[in-house]
Amino acid sequence: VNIPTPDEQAADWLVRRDRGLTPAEQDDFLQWLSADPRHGEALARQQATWRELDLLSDWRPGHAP
Amino acid sequence: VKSEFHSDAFPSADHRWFNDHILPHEPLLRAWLRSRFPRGVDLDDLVQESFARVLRARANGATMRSPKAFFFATARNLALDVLRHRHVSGQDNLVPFDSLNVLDGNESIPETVDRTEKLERLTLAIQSLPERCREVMTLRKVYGLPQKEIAARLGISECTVSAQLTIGVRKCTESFARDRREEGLL
Repeated sequence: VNIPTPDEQAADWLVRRDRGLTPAEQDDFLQWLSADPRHGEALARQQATWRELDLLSDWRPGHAP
Repeated sequence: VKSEFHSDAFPSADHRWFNDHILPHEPLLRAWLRSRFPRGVDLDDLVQESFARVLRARANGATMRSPKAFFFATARNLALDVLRHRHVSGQDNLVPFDSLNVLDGNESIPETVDRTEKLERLTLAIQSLPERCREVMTLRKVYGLPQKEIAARLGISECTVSAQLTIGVRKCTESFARDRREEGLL
């Protein structure tokens, strides 16, 4: 079994947070984040993508200027 | 894409400018298009039409900070246009390709190119995802639907929605990183 890379784990956490975390999951998340500095770096990368894609929401069909 | 490029139609000053600033970049543009749009795009048509559009923009008084970047952005727009027309059926309408036709608008060309480049990059990243993944990413990031609603709308589990988003964001991150490396070429 392949161990997920930090970026895979980060993308997973990003999407789980987007869905909404329970308090227990929130604890797990913080634990994951503090476990390895690479986790925070990977999360920053994935979050940058996630936010950048929001630009497209201003441009959906019918809403273009 | 039908070419409207006739070299005789342009004054000689534009011709010189074209030979100095655009023509030398043709080989790199072709190589880049070939790597980016491997199938189904007629390179000769695309390059011809890009020449024509760049010359028209110049004839219309566009100031280009970087003719090369303008040339590449124009070609990329056209390639995406071709792909868009191929994808007009069904769910592909969710992808906001209409946003890419802004080069013909009234705004100042350099600004438009910058914004168009960015939107293109984002759109292309989503467009290149596998179908289900693309659908879910589009509903979440373009239409802003929450995950729960996406699951209900598509009749799939929330787990599947999350899994597809996880794959989608990761692939888009990789795609952006590749774009940044390629920009080193421009």
